[in-house]
Amino acid sequence: MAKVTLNHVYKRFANNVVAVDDFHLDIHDQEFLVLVGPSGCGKSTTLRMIAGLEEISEGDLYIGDRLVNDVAPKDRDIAMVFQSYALYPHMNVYENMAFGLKLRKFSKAEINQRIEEAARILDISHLLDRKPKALSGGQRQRVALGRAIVREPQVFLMDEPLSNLDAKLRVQMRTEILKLHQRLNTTVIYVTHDQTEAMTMGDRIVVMKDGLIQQVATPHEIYNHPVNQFVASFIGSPSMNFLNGRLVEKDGQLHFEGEHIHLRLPDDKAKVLRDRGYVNKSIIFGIRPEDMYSDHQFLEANPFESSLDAHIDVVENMGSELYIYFNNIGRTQMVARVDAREGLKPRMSIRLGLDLSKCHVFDSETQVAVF
Amino acid sequence: MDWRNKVEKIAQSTNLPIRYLECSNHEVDQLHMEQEKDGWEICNVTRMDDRTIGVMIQPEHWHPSARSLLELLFTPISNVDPFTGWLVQLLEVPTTPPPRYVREQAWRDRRLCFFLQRCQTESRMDMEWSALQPLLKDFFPGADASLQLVPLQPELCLLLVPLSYLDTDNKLEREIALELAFGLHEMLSCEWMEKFRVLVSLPIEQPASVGVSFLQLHTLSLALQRFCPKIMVAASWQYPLERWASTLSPETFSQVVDGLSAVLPFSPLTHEQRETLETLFARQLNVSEAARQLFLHRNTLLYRLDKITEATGLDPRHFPDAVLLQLHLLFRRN
Repeated sequence: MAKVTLNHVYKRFANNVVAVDDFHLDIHDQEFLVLVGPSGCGKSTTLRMIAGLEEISEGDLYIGDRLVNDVAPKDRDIAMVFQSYALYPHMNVYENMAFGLKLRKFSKAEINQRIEEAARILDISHLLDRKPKALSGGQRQRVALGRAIVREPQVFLMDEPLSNLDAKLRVQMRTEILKLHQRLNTTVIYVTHDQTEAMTMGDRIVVMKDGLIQQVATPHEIYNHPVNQFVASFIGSPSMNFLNGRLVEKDGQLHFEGEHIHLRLPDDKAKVLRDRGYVNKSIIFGIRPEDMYSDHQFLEANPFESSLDAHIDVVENMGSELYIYFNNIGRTQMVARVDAREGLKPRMSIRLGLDLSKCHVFDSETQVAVF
Repeated sequence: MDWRNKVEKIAQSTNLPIRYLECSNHEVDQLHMEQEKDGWEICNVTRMDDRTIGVMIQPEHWHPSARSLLELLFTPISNVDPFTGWLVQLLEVPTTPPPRYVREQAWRDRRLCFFLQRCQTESRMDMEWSALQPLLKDFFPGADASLQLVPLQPELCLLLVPLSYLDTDNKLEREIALELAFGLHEMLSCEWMEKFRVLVSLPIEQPASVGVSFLQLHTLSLALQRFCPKIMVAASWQYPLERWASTLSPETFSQVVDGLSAVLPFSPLTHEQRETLETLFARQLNVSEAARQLFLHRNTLLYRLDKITEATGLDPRHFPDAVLLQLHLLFRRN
């Protein structure tokens, strides 16, 4: 177990493309850190630099207190689980898991003990004699994890390890990996492009875009206080709604004026915007789908200019809730998550109340969050 | 003492038929055939840059023990052994395998030929391939003595693994070969922790066939680097279209691109459309299999295919249209 420190790390390729730009982060001992972002954001390159599979162009990398920039990957005391894992087809499950330990000259007793323990954790004790061809997809994934676990490395590196599994198995394995982390108490650095995986698994999340860290925070912080419009849009499903408009003063109150929408901002939010000089300026207004309500109780409790009239285009029934899509506001498609009991249908018009205490405002030029 | 002096001294002292041979690398086969007609045989050969140096004898005059001594006396001048030299030479001109190698290496069983290509382009290129030998021996337990690692270039080597010791379990040889290639790639990634491309050929019968397999795999490697750079594991019988396209001259290639643009005038496909088509083609146009591979409902895939038909005028479920779309994918992205 160890902390990992990336000290102003850069990755530049020969064609002057900067894949990772000034990555500076301390990953705590025993932390489950998730790197998330769209394709090409540099998350896998960062992980591969930690593994030693890519050379660091500039900056320092420490595992524990040891500078490892020039240490060969196999000597870094890490274990990596890849997206496209394969088992050794001519060896049974036991031999697959024992292989790395035999290479490192562990005693038979030690190998047995580690494999038994890992197999018990992964619930594959009954499969140890089987060849890979006799295993299901989920069982194979467990064996691949087992091969990494028995090494008892200082750090686990996982590069989209679940993306080759079907949706149901992916959810199941997500929980398994979390349980595993709780039992092993090892530092895990996990790369994914799936924001749900990031939110559900990470102690902290690093959101990346174009090689740059956008935000490092807990899932709660990232979701509720995104630092910019990109993070706000990337994290959360369905994504946050954004509307362009202006802030204007009327009768001592601050209002957001957009196309077919007029909202009076709460006093605490208005004060921040006034203090930051946004009055009479363009802004981007953001509201998450679950912060819009169609029920009468909410509308009655929030009567003051905090609602909009939606003409429903599409209703997605998720069972316990409905996603309703409409695009009659601000020339953009918006989505609200409402109670399934509301019984809404396409082509209906409804009034949606917005919980403005949870709204977000972004600078229209820099896309940086005001709050 | 150089080989020429040694040969002269041996000829003087033994009075046995022995000759020194020196020629350019591409002349060696012709010379060898001519000398063979007169009863001469190359007993030792080595290469120095573009020159081949060798020793020839008339074998019927030489006692086997004397021949063994000759082989000890004429050690290769460079570090490149004749077998390696032969394979490297094959990339330039067709040549026959060194007779000594073929003679000594008569296999009792067939072998799988793996092509290991290091993809690390930076400072770790100085690795000695021999460092990998212990790891490979552990990975193929039981194949110890007959496991053969043939380093060809700093980033390239061949690995010959006897098939006999593997538990083939009545499985198709192609399946076994490909599964082992995936396993080998995984092992190198996890234990050696380096990015390799691992290619495999069908089992080969005799050492002389290594050259053919090597050339097939080399062609495949060039094709993958150019058309499918993300593919790290493949077999010699796969990617036939890519292999063919990689052999085209730049002029022909550009003519094909122009020709395709004329008959397929639609705008570039999206990433999702390309992924959909590639998966469908990899699954032999089997929609259900492709849907499973893409984790989609079959109807969703059908909808996507309908949209592709709408955009291109070609239905990927129909073989002639699929051929055009595959050519489009192959040539347009380059």
